[in-house]
Amino acid sequence: MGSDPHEALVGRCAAGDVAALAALYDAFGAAAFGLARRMTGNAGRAEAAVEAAFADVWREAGAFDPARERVSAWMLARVHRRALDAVRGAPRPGPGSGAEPAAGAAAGDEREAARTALARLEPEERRVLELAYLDGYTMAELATLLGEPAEAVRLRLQTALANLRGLLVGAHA
Amino acid sequence: VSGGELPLGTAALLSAHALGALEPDEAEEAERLIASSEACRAAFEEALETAAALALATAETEPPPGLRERILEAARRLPPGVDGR
Repeated sequence: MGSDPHEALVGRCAAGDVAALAALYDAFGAAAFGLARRMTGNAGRAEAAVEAAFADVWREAGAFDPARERVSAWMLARVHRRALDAVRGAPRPGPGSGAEPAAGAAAGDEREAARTALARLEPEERRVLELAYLDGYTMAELATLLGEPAEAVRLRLQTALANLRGLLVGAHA
Repeated sequence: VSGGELPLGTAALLSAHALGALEPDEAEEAERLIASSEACRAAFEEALETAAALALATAETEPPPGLRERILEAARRLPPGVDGR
């Protein structure tokens, strides 16, 4: 993925270049805030999560390995982690709240590929992935919610993620 | 995600961890596996990459004004990465 212009920005963050962090914010700030807003259902908590996530990006930039990760996934994983911390032990926005992709949002190739793959995933599989990843349900909570044994939920998540990967990889072929 | 040679239970644990769906004790177990096995680390990274699609597909939302400057101001006060420079 050497063609990703954002890789150099992460490298410059590792060297202490604040302008590079600003450029990453300009590239991913709206995606980060959208994800945190969707997960927390609350603008204030979303803002705190994004602020903490960018501090993590700044601190952890030196450990980023472009051979193993894409910048977008790496950045959003940090936002996800912080927003999940905010969601755990707090009221949930509720399944499916505002999950619909905005048609007008700036859509890079990656965003478009992700939306296409998710749209082609079985609705039940998409739902269980979103309940876990976006709504912050643990497997134990999902088992209660879905009325299934934890082991069944674990396999359901595994299958859904594998099928999503198949759709994403297939899109690149 | 497919886990290759990994037992299905292990692959499922790593997938659930990538989705952030594990209880703390299970998450610790997953972290131990990732730290100790290259195959587990690779499977986990693959699962993370796939899970990122759920983040990428979420609608972008304009962040509140002032957030950008607060982030940059914090960075100016904070030395960069542990081993940076």
